Amino acid sequence: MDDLVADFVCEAREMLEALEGELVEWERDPDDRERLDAIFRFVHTVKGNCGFFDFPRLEALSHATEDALSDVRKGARRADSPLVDAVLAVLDRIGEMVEDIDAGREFTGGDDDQALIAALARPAADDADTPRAEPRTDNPLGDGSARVAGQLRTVRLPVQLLDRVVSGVSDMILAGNELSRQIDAAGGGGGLEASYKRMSAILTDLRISIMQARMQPISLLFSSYRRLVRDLAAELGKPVTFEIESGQVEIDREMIELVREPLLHLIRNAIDHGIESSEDRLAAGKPAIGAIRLSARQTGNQIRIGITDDGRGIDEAKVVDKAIAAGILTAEQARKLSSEQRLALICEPGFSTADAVTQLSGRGVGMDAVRAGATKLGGSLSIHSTLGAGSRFILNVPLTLSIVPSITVRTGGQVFAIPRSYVEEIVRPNAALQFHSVGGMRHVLLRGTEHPCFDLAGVLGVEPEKPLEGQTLVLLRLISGSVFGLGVDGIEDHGELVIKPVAPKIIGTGLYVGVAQLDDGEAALVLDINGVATAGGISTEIQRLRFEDDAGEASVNDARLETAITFQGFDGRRKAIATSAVERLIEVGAGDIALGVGEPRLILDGGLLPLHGIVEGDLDRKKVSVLLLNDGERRVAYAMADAVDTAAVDLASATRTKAGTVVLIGGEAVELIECHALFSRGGAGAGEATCRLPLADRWCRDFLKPLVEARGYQVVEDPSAAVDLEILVEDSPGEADAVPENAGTVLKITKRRKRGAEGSIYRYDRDALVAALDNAQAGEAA
Amino acid sequence: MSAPLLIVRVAGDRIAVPADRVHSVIELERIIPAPRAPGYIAGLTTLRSRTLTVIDTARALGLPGADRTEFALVVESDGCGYALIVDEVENVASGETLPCRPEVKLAEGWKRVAQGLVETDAGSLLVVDLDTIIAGPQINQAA
Repeated sequence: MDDLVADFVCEAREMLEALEGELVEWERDPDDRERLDAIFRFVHTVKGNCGFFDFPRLEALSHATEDALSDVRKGARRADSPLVDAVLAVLDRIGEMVEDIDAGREFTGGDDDQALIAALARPAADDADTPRAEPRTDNPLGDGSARVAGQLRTVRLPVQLLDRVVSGVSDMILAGNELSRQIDAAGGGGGLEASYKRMSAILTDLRISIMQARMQPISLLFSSYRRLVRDLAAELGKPVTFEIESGQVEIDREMIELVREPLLHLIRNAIDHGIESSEDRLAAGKPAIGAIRLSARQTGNQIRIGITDDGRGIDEAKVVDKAIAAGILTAEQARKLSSEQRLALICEPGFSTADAVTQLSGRGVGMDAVRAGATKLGGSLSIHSTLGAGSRFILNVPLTLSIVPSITVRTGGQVFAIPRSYVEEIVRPNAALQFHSVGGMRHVLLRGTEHPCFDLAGVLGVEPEKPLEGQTLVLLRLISGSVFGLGVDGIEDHGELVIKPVAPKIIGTGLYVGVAQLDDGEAALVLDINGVATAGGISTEIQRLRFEDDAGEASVNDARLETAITFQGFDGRRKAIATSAVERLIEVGAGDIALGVGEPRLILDGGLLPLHGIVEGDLDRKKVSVLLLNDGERRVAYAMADAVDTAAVDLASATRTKAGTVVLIGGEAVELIECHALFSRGGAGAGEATCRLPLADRWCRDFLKPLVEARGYQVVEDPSAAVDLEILVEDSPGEADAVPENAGTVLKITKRRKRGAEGSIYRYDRDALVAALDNAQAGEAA
Repeated sequence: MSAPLLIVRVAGDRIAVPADRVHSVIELERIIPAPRAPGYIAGLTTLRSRTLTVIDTARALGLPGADRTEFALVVESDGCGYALIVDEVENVASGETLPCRPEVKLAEGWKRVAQGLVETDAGSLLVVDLDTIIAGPQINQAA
């Protein structure tokens, strides 16, 4: 019996959640038969179950609602606003009761069921002249029953079970890592390694699928706001339309819980502060009904949630005045802010724009809490607004809480993790760094800018291995834009960490956001960077002052000093590369590196990138760290054999030879990789030269096109586009031998070997073809 | 009500804990400290892919900290996993938990976590509430 009740509660909850949006839509268009049917089905189900379980109050309510809706279905009554309100009230009460049943307690809701039922009753007056729609079939399940058959086959399973499976898979991955170490230690051999690789690939797939299983369409979250918008709009007397655009975006269910509150607040704000009253809107030449739009897009590992309104917008000048009045910053600082930074002032603690405190937005969380919530685990909030035309708030959140790219640092003999999104730069201890005390706070001078810095060990109350001057500094950027240096004994590793919640008493220290398990199975606490900054004495006041410093950061004092990433190459030599060219640092599996087929390439995001710094025979490991370099248009990758670090490079000390450039870093001669050479070399030319060939010809498409592409051409189809090389094939279907005007070099290919055929090549004369392709490209470049 | 109880030794005293709350008994290998956390939190340990917060049970009771950190009870509380350090795990018993008789006097730390007494073959044992232990001393800044 308990199982049955649990099923009932679960079903009722799900239906209620799905109905939220439907109800409001139904109110707007009461003739919408499908929505009416959905609501009817719900109360019908509840009624049926109540009789079975003996919940008389619930039964009375659902029965009365069913009756009222049944009248509407028959066309005997119209769904007017009082009826919708009454139905909503009943559904709320049913929701409360369902929760009570679940908790196994007495019904706690009010005892005015009769009033609710009375509200459902038809007003006596409009009986006669109610327009009567065509009565339809009286099948209690309505037309919707036909739709059920077409739905995807799904099973319902408890979240706890899913979580158990997820942790089981994590266990297996850890056990797999252990196994891998054992195999390495035993020197591999036999088919062991191959079997292990197979298992490990399966596990990776499994983990991806199981993570997907935890994803929920974000539309579920979005439609739960429909009711809020409706109620708020009614309460404030501001009619608004609420548009949702979420596409297929899915989000981890843990993340949903984290964004629920901030979004709620932003929507409230949009209606309360953003949208003007109807009169004001008309006076401003806008439609009387305001519009609010909630949208979601996935970009890479992030989801962008936008809340847009067409209200009065945010008055930048007013915001700045208020901020100055509130002592958040000085007028002089304010002048240096960009428009976006000015709007961001509304997120400063102690700021409020509401001229009059309204019932809704004047209480509870403010914008500072919204931003804090969004940034807790690597998200961000940005604000855009046009005065008079509306505002847009964009919440960027990671796709999942579970996996966060991080670096791990060591201090006092213990390892801690830092979400990589905060990390600006890593500065190795070096004698050239200047530390000094400014206003009781240690600062380090980096490229002409003072950065406050402190020792992580001091904040944590542990014993560091060396004083701050000898430590590695991790430069971290806070949401406010301020940058500070965190001294640690050393950098351990970088990679994607699975972050899990940890005991509230540990979170309560304000220094940690969770815990992660490292590759060796040990636990590492993940630092709460904002908490650490506060504990380290980076007060909010200093952070605000930093605004102006950031603006001035572009003017680097010593132009000859550049930061470089240094690492050990696969050839065993230490190398350096200018940080400006580095897009990011990633770790790839050995399987993603294609060696032995011409130039080494890296498989990334489904495409191929030229990979430098590695030759065949170098690959003796499973994971390779790779630097992604970007020249603004293209990317190339550079493989590293060992740890990364950063250092300031004095370009004046660079010695250029034909073989390469050497710079002095900490007294050591290091090869400086010239990015220009990387991008101009070999396969890096891909995508530059264009070639058109008759793709209608099967041989061209299947045989020739791959060869052309392999030689670095981009194949174009558009017959009107200008191309560097035009390939014509003898007797190809539908193509005359006429050479288009916009062609560069023309190459003719024949199907049979011909003697003395000037300017044409037999199609299987591979050497001649390749030479011709390369010549055409070289000619183009010259 | 008679429920299975686990008899363990904490700070030299024998106590009983509800056995159905204890997932397993583990041997603690390595404890990673959690700097700045309340003193009764010994740190973190891992059990396969789970991370457990290690509670120094004696300190949570306001007694001097445990000198042996060998065994721990794995307990779940409010969605988080904990490992409660005990000196020893002795036995399983069952019996009815009765309110503390007035003539039994408890030391300050124990009073807070006491659920009642249970009569076993080994004599009267104090039954403790695990969640209260996990919540720690009321003034945990004492650490």
